Amino acid sequence: MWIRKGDRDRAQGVDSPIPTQVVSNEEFIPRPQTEKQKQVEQLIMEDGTANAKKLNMSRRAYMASSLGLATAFLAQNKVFGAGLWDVGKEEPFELAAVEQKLTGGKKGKYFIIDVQSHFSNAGPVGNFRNSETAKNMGFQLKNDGEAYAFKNFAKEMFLDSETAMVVISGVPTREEQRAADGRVLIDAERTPRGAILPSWLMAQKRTELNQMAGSQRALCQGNLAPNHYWNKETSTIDRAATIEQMEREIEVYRIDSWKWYCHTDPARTGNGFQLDDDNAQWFIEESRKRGKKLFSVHKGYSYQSKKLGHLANPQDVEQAALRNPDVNFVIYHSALKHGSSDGENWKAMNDYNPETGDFLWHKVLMDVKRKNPQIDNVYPEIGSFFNTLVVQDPIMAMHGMGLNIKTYGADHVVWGTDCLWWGSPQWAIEAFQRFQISDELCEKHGYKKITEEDKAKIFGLNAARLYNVDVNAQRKALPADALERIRQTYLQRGGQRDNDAHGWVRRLG
Amino acid sequence: MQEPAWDFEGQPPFEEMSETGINLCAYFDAMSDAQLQTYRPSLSDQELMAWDGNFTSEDTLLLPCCESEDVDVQMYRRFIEQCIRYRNSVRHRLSSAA
Repeated sequence: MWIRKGDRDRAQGVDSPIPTQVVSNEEFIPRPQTEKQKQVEQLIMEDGTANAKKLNMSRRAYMASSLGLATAFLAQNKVFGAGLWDVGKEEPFELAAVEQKLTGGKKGKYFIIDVQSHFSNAGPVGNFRNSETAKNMGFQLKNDGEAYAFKNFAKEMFLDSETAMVVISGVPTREEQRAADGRVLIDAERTPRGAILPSWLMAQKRTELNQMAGSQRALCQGNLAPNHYWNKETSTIDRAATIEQMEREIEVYRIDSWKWYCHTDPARTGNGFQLDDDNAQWFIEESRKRGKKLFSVHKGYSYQSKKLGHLANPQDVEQAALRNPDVNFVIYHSALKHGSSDGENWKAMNDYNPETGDFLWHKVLMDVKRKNPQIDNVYPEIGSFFNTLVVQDPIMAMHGMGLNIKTYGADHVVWGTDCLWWGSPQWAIEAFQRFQISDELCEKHGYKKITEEDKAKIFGLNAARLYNVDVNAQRKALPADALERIRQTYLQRGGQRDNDAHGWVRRLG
Repeated sequence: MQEPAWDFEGQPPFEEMSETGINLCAYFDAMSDAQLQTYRPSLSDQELMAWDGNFTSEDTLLLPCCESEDVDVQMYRRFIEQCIRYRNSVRHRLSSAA
C-alpha cells in the first residue's frame, strides 16, 4: 500500500527537513527507500535531536529551521561522500552562518519563480477520512484534502518558503463546454467528474492570490491541448470547439502559458499527440495569432501503456522547436524518464552512462540541442528533476544540472519544484542555493561551476523573461504587499513549516 | 519461465476507453500470469487492495500519470475480470509461442 510521505513519517516518528526518499507525484510507482537513504534518515534524526538539545530548542522547531536543513545536508555528506554539500561545522548551530552561506548575508538575493507548482481542489484525495483504510491505519492523520488544497498551497509556497512568485501549473484536464441545451457552462459546471485542476480554477485562484496580495504573485497555465476536443465520427480534431476553448482560456482566463501532456487523452480519442504533428502545429499557429507563444510541456515521467507512454519522450521537441523559432517550449522534469520502480539499481535501470553522465530520456532532450546548436527556444525545467536527483543520489543531481547548463546554457534552465508533492519547496531552494558540481565531475565531463549569476537566472530571471515579469518592479512591490505582511506576522508568531511531503511512498509493515 | 507477450491493451475495447482505462489494461499486461491467476472475485475490497499492493491509503490504485480519473475497486474489478477472460482465450497460443 502507498501512503503519503508525511503520514509515513508521522507513523515512524521521523521529522526530516529534506525528504528521506523520493516521493511519487503520481507519475511513477513509488520506489523503495534505499539503504543510503535509510542511513541519511537515521543520521538526520540522531544529529538533529542532539543539535536541538544543545540549542535548547524543540526538535520540531529545529527541524523546521535552516539549522535543521544544514544538519540534513551534513548527513547526506556522511553517507554519499564528504564535500557534496558545502556545509560549515557551525551551520547546524548558527543561523547567521547559514544565511551568510546561502545568500552572502543578502536576504532576497534570489528572486524565485516556481514554474511548476500544483494544488488540487481536493478531488484526488476523495473521502479519505471515511475510508476503510483510514479507519484501519491506527495513527493520527491530517486531512489530506486540506493538506493539498489551495489554502495550504498558499501557506507552504509563500509563508514557508522564499518563493516570490508561482506559476500554477496545469494537469491533463479538459473542460466541458456546453450543457445539453447548448448553454455555455461556467466555472465549476465546466469541471468533468473527477478532474482536479481545470483551467478556470487555476485562473480563479491566480486572481484570488493576486488580489489578496495586492501584487502579482501568481501566474497560471491553461490545460487546453490539440486532442481535447475531438470529432469521434471523423476521428479528427474539433477545430471549432478547440478555438472556442482557446479564446476562452486566453481572453477570459488570461492564462500565461499552455501546459501540454502529449501522452494523455482526456477526450478519449484513443491516442495522444506529438509536438511536431499536424494538429499540434495547427494549435501553435492559432495560438500565435492570439499572441500566446509559451508552451510548457510535460516530458519524461510516463506510463506503462504502449500506445501512449512513448509520447512523453522528448524526441518531438526538435522539429517543433525548429519549425517555430518564435515560440518557447519549456520542457518539464527535464524529460527525466524515471521508468523504474527499483530503488537501489536506479542508475542502471535508467541507462545511466558514467562516461557521459547521460540517462533516460534526459539524453534525448540533450541530444536535441547537441544536434541543433541554433535552437534557442527550448528550456529544460527542473521540477521533480533536481529535487528527485538530490534525494536519490546527489552525484546524479550534479550530472543532471551540469548537463542542462552545459548543453542549453544557464540562461535556459528554469526553476520549478513540483510542490506541493514535495511539501514546502524551501528545502529544495536551500539545496540549490548550496548546490555545486564537484571539481572531479567538472574536469571529467566539462561541466562548469555554477555561479551566483547562474543561480539567479535559474531561480527566477529566466522564467521572468519567459513570462514577461519585470523583476525590478516586483522586487520593489512585493516587500510591501499584503502577502509579505502576512508572512512576517506568521513568522513572528512562530509559524513553522511542517516538513510534510504529500507525495506517495510505500507504507512499512 | 518467460512471461508470454500479453496484449490486453491492444484488444478491442470492451467499454469506452479513457486514458486511465488504456493504462489500466497496460498495468494488467505487466502483471505476471501466476499472480493474476490467484485473483478471486470473492476477495473483499480490503483483501483486493492488499492482494494488489499498489492501492493508496485513499483506496484508489496508484496508476502513474492518470490524473483525470481515479481507479477505484469497482473499476479495478471490471478490468481485471475482463483481463482474465482475455488471457484465458490466448494463454495456450501465446504460451506455445513464448
